Amino acid sequence: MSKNEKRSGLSRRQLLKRGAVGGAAIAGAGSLSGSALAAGSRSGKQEAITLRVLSLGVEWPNPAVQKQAEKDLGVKFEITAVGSVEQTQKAVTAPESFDIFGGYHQQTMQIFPTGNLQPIEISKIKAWKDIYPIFKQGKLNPASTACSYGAGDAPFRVLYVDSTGKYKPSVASTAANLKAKNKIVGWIDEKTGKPAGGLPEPKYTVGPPAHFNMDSMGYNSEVIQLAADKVSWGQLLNPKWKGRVSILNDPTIGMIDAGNAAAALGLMKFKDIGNMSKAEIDTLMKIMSKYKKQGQFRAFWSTFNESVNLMASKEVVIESMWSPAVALLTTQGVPVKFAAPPEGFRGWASATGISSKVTDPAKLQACYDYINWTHGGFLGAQIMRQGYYVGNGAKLNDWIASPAGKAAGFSSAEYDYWYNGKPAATDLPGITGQVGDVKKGSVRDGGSFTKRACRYTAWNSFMVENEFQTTRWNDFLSA
Amino acid sequence: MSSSSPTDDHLKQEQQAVALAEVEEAEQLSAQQPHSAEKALGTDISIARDRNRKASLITFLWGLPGFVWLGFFLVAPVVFIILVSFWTRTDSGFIKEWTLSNYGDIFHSHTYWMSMWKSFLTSIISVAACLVFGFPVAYFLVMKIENQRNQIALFIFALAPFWTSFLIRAVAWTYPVAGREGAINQALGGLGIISDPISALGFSELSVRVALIQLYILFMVTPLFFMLSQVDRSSLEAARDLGGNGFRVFKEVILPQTMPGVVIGSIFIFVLTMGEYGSVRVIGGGNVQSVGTLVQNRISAIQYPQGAASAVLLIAALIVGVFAITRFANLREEL
Repeated sequence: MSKNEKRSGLSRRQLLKRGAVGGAAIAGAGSLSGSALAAGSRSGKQEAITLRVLSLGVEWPNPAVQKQAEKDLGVKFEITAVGSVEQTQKAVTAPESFDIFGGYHQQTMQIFPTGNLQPIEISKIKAWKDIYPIFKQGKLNPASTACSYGAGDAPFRVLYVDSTGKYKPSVASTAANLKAKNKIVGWIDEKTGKPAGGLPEPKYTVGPPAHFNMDSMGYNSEVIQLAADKVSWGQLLNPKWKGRVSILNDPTIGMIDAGNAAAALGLMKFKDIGNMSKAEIDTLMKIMSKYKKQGQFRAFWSTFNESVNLMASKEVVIESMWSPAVALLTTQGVPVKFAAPPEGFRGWASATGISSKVTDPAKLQACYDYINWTHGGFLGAQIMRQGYYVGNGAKLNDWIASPAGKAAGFSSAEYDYWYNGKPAATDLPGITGQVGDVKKGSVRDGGSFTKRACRYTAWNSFMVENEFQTTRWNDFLSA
Repeated sequence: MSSSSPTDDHLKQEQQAVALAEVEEAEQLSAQQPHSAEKALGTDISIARDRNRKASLITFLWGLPGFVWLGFFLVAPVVFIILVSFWTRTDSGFIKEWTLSNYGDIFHSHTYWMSMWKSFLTSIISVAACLVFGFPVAYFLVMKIENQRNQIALFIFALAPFWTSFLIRAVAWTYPVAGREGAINQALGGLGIISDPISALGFSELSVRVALIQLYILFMVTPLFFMLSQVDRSSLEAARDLGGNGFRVFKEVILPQTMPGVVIGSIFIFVLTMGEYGSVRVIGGGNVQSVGTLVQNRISAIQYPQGAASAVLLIAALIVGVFAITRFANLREEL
């Protein structure tokens, strides 16, 4: 979703606004330059450190999070919440304007080779051992053959940093990454599921995993009367829904969804759907143009709100969607479900990075402290209510069940619903924070985390042929 | 762009003209007075010279903020866009390696020229429709409402929809008005005219064009309102007394006198609709492309040189278009 998300970022940010949270985050945006000046003079140990966060906003879902973080860490936060395009632009052009970066893995593929993010020492990340193996080895259970890695910028291909030359960059690496001194590398040999060359885990990362999820399609379950796990990506091109279909107006996501649909229907095959060749992009866009000319698509949405409105106003009956959009519509009583396609999900994950301009030891330590804080439980529980998982989610229930978790108003019943795929024991608070967002007895579409995090077709990716991708996407939209 | 009204522009031109005249005057004066005369006449002349210099300096200072503003916000960005359009893209931006390939790609892009043509067509339709629908409104307000207070009140009333944000008005043209379950389809269905909703009403080229007319008609009504207010009423009476019928009076008396308003309104609407991308994207639901949305897609993908090249050609097309429109009236003379 990197560039993918100029809109997509916007969209996730809309969530904040809805949660009445955005105000603080967005207000922070304006004060960016001022604080940059101030930061220099503040680096002394006496005064409180201010950490400037450049974020998509997901990990700042409400003012309580910032308050808690400031209380626990004794630092101030200035949060700039932006869409992912703007974020990438800022990270690429002005590394001095932020200290902490909270964005997607496929964005780091574009940003890290510029040298604007610093390699992060894994030994300083306290929860590293609890981070799901899906990030390190590619699967929840590395030995599993039933589960798939998923093509493209899957986190395990783009998580580590190496300057020794011992580890290999992913085959989908950009020229910039191949040239860089600190290269983004993977650790695991995908054929064996074991460390390539028997090497130990690399010592550095682009950024420890934060929150993540699996994306698919939302569909009107009154019109499309199928169980969530029976809805194939191919439904996007089903002539029965002609004129009632939408996908994201963003080549880096939309093209993967389109590719999933075309592949599901056997219209074409991909060598690597997460890093399509020019010929594959070309063929896919020809297929899609044919469908577009026949009137298959109602619209191509750009923002979270657009996707919500299209479904709520019944303009569409199936569309690429994010799980919070479905959750939000469900709270409004719209009969929409979130598909768990048999072919697998399109994955995405975010990482927390540190600007290379953070050199002051006290400030750098504060950055590490913040990252460790994000794994502490409070944030993970907040993010859970949006339907997103966190990198060390297996340990989350420990915190929720602790006195601190209970004091903050969380219950293990919520964890059971969101992570374990169990029916809600009572009415639960969800995306809006209101009890009743999740009705008693309802079950999360797609089931438990273990089940959902097993099948991936691809992950959001920064493709090597991204320029050609945009050209042909423009052609498609004009068809 | 949309914030500067025609009167502002007029004012600016006037200021510049005055400034120029004063500078010239001062120069002439100083040239006319040779040094010998200056010596002979003593200090009087040098005081006068000083005063002139001072005057021209003051005018210059008055003009300075405007020039700086234009330089910083108009000239510099355009120059930069042109430069970037000749540079080479990298994954994270661009490097200063000169290339023509950004333009080469565009020249071979059927999509680009198709979008240029469609944007042009949309613009022409918008300009024509705004003129056809806007002129009667302005005419009615100026010519048929005698009481000036009522006139202003009605003019403000006509402006009322424009107090809402542009974006909200654009969104209104999607599912609320033109959607499958939107106002139009519900009305037609309710009246029994249609049984199935008409999809083509919304998220289509049609809805974009209809919406742009509504979004921009004010830019035509306003200049026409002011130009019509300046029409010499006695010339109308004279024309009628001389036996001119309604059409001839309009064609030979009213239209020539209001032509600058027509031209200004046309320029505004042509430039704004031809470069439009935000409302095209929202109203068209991504189904409709303009040159603007093509540029936007490039910028979103951090492909600045490609976006810049697309934008430069758009600017060129706009300049040609504006130049063509100004042939219809000599603005400097007639305003």
